[in-house]
Amino acid sequence: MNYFLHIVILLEIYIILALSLNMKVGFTGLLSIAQAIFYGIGAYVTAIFMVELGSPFLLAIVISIVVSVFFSLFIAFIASRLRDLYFALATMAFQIILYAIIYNWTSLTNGPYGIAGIPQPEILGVAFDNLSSFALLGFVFMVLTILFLLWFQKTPFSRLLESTRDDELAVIAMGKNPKYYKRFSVCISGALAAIAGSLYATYVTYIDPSSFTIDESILIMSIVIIGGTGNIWGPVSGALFYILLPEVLKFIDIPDSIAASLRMIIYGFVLILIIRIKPDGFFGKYVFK
Amino acid sequence: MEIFIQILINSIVSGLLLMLVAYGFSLIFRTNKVFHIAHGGVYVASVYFLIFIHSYCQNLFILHEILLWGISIILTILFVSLLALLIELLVYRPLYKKQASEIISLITSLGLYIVIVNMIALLFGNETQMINNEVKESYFISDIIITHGQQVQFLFAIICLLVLAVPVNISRIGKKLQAVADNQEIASVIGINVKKMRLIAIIIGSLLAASGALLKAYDVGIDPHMGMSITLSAVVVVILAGKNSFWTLLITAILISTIQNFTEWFLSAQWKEGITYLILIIILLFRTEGIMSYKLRIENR
Repeated sequence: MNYFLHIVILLEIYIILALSLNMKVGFTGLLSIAQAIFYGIGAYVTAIFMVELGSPFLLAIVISIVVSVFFSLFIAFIASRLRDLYFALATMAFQIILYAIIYNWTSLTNGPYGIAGIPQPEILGVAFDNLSSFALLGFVFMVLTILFLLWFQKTPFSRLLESTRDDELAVIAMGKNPKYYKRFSVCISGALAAIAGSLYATYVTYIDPSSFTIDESILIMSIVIIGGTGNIWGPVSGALFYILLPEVLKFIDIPDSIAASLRMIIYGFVLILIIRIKPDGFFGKYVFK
Repeated sequence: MEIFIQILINSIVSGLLLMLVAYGFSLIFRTNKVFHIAHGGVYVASVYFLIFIHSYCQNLFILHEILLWGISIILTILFVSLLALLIELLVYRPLYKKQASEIISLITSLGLYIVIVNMIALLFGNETQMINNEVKESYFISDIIITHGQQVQFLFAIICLLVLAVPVNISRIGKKLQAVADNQEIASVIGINVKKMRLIAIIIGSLLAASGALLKAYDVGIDPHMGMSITLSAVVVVILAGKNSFWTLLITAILISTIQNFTEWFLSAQWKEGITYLILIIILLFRTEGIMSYKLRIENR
C-alpha cells in the first residue's frame, strides 16, 4: 500500500510538472529545456525557508512561486529575442548556468551535500505527515492546477497565447504584442513548476542538486512531447506513461540494475517513434513543426 | 608565469580534442541539418567498443600488443562508421524525407542520445573505464610538465585532423558537402547526390568524434555520461565560430578550452560548464551569427 501511495505522489508531482511545461510548449510554442531548474528553484526556496527560517508551508510555497517567476523573466527575455532551435539551446544554457550556481553556492544551498531535514507540510494546524495524507495534499494541488488550466483554456486570453504560437506576425498585425503573451505564459509555467518543486521537497525531505540536472529537464520535455501538447490530457497521459512504465516492466522478471536502463531505452525509442509516427503525442492537440 | 604557460599548453591539447568533436558536429549540423546531440552517444560508444573488442581479441588469439591495438582500432573505425550509417538511415533520413524542422531533429536526437547512453550503461555499467592503466614518464621543460598522455593526444589529434578534417576542407567532396550545406535543393539540381553526401558527412563527423573520444579516454578514462558535456562544449564552439571554416573552428575550440582551463584553475571545476554556457547565452542573445561571421538577416536568426 505504501509503495502504491509513493507512486501516486510521484505521479501527482510529475503531472503538475508536465502541465507547467505545457504552458510554454503547448500554449506558446516555446520548446524550453530548462523546466527542471524551476522545479529546483521551487524545491530549494521551500527547503531554505522551512529549514533555516522555520516559515510555514503555505508561505514557503508563495515565496518559491515569486522567486521562480522572477527567474522566469530571464526565459521571457530569451523568448523575446530567439526562436525555435536557438531558443531551446539558450534555455539549455540557462539550465546549466543556474545548476552551476545552485551547485556552487554552498553557503545558501549547501552545494552537493544538499539540504536535509525539511519538515513535512502543515496547513492550518493539519499536519500532512504520513503518506496517505500527503497523497491527498498532492491530489488537491494537482486538481487545482487542472481546474485552473481548464478554466484558463476557455478564456479568450488563452486564444491570444495560441495565436502567438501559430502566427506571430498575424498577432502583431492585430495590434497585439506577442512578447507580452510569451512573458505571461513563461511566468505561469515557472509558478506551476515551483509548486511541484515545493511538494517534492517536502515529500522527500532531502534535496540535492542531482535531482535538477539537464537530464531531468530533457526528461520533462520528453514527457510533454510523448503525451502531447496544447491541451491538458496530453501532458497528463505523458506523465502517466513515464511513471507507470517501470511498474509494467516489473511484470517481466528482470533484475533492478537492468530495469533502470531498460526503462530509459524504451523511453528514448518511444520518443523517436512518437515524433515520427504521431507528432501530436498520445492525446495532444498541437503539432510541433 | 610558469602556471600560465602550463595552462596554455594544457588548453592547446584539450582544445585540439574539442576541435575534433566540434568539427564533426559542425559537419553534421550543416550538411544534414540535424542538431546531432547523439554525437555524444557515438563519442562514448566508440571507446566502449574499443575496450570490449580489445579484451575480446586478447582472449581469442595471442598477438603482439601493438598488432592487437591496431586490429581493435580498425574494428572500432568500422563499428563507428556502421553506427553512423544506421543512425542516418534509420533515424535521420525519414526526417529529411519529411523536411522536418531543426527543432524536431533536436528532439529526435535527444531521444537517440538517451537510447545509446542507456544501452551502454546496460551493457557495461556506469563505472569509469580506463584504456591505459600505466603511468608513463612526463616530459619537462624547466617547470612545465607535458605528460605522456598529452604528448600522445597532441600528436594523434593533429594526425586525425590532417587525415579526416583537412581533406573535407579542400577536396572536391568537401566542395560538394558545402554545396549541400548551403542549399540542398539547388545542390541536387546540379547533380550532387544529396543522400550520399549526407551519409559521408555523418560518417566522417562520427569518426572525428570517435578519434577525440579515444584520445580523451587514453588519458582520463570514460564513463557513459561523459558525452553530453563534451557535445555541448562542441555546440558552444560551433555557434561561437559561426561559420564552418577549419581555422575559425580551431581557434574557437582552443579559446573555449583556454577559458575552461582558466576557470578550473582560478574558481573551481564545477564552474567550468557554467562559464562556458554563460558565453553561449550571451552570444546567442546579442550576436546569433557568431563572433567571427557576417551579420545574418533577421529571418534567419
